[in-house]
Amino acid sequence: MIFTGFNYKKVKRMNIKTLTASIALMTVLAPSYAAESEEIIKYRNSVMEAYAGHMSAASRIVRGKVDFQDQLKLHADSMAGIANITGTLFPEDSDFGETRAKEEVWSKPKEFEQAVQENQQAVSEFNKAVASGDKDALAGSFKKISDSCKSCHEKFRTEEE
Amino acid sequence: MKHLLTALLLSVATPLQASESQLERGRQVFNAASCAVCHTDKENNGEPLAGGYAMKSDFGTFYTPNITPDPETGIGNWSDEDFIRAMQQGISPEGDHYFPSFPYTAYTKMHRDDILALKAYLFSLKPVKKSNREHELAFYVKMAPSARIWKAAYFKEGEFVDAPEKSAEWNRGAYLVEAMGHCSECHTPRKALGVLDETMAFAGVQKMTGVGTVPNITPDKKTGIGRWSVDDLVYYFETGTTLSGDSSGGKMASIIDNSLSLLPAGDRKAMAVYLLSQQPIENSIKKKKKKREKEEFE
Repeated sequence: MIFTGFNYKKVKRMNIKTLTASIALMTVLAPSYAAESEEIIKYRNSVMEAYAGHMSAASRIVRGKVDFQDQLKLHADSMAGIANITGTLFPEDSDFGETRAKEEVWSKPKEFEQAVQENQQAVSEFNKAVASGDKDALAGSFKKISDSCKSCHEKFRTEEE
Repeated sequence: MKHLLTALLLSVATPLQASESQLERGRQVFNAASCAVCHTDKENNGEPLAGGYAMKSDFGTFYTPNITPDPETGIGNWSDEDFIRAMQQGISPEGDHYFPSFPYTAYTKMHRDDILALKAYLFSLKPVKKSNREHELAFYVKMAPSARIWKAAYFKEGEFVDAPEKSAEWNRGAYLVEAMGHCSECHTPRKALGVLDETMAFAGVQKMTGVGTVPNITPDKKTGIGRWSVDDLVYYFETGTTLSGDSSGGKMASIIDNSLSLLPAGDRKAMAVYLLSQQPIENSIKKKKKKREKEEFE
């Protein structure tokens, strides 16, 4: 509203009481961090969806559904990159808005950190398996990634509205 | 004398052998019926199968009972017939009628042999002394005859019968999904009084109390799992990873861990074959995100 650009004429037309009242009201109702929280949540969702996209694509190569072996490293690299930042996507106060993140993310930070690390470890094992080309290690480490995703979602993501 | 000895040995050896294979069968039934999902209070680090898990519903909170073989607080004193009556008819050894929060409405379709194998397996596990907690129900549910009236009106008793025109795999899948797996309990929406709406079988529930958003698992291309292959679904049962690469959480993660991923591979495939052969139903279920407000602004 009035903060989108400073319009002197508009301000002049408003009487001073209205102006003070609106500023006071805006300060209470629209603190900037609430908007920030929504933006962080949207960013977080997009990063998670990108992760899922690589997971799904990689699974189709690992399961032998498609033969894009040379692209597996791309997915493994991307997953490693994302696994390394997932822990940073949940800063304090980023739980106000439309999120399925449970309060436990913030109330049990140690357990959450551990869940994130388990995922990182599984992804790093997967990367090694991709480099070595060992088929059993590939399937085994990939299963570990999905296990870590599942167990973290079970603890820290709600299915309820 | 030699013959007598052989006969004697056989008569001793046979029941022992049978009981070992029965235990293994019982373990498989136990997994397929996902008993551990509700009878262990994981959230509060409860002991395996000692009950106490709070099952929230529109009718109040049910606390699952202790099904360990402890004679005092569990089912250790139950006879075979007690156990069969509970599973197939929803009646306790004392003659009380269970609420259908215990899915005897599905277990009634189980074969007697499977139920007995399950009992043998449960009785081979560690007894835990833990008293059952009373349900906390709405007043109209709490009234004594409510479970009996509900049953008289809506419960269909009877074992599963193979459909002769279908393959053995399809029938096995049907048995796993409908009788043991009791998938409908969450995936089929309910009408008044918690009665399953069979015209919407497996079409999902937008908001199920205590569970959350339950997806449409009919093979509808747009709103269900119509784009999934049998292999995709089997892979999901093993890992919890969906076609889009998302990973299950909530109740379903526990069902993957304690049931589906533990089944023989052939059973997972049979379930997938059966589910993907269902009537596709267009019913859009969206995972809505909870809007959480800061307390000061509430």
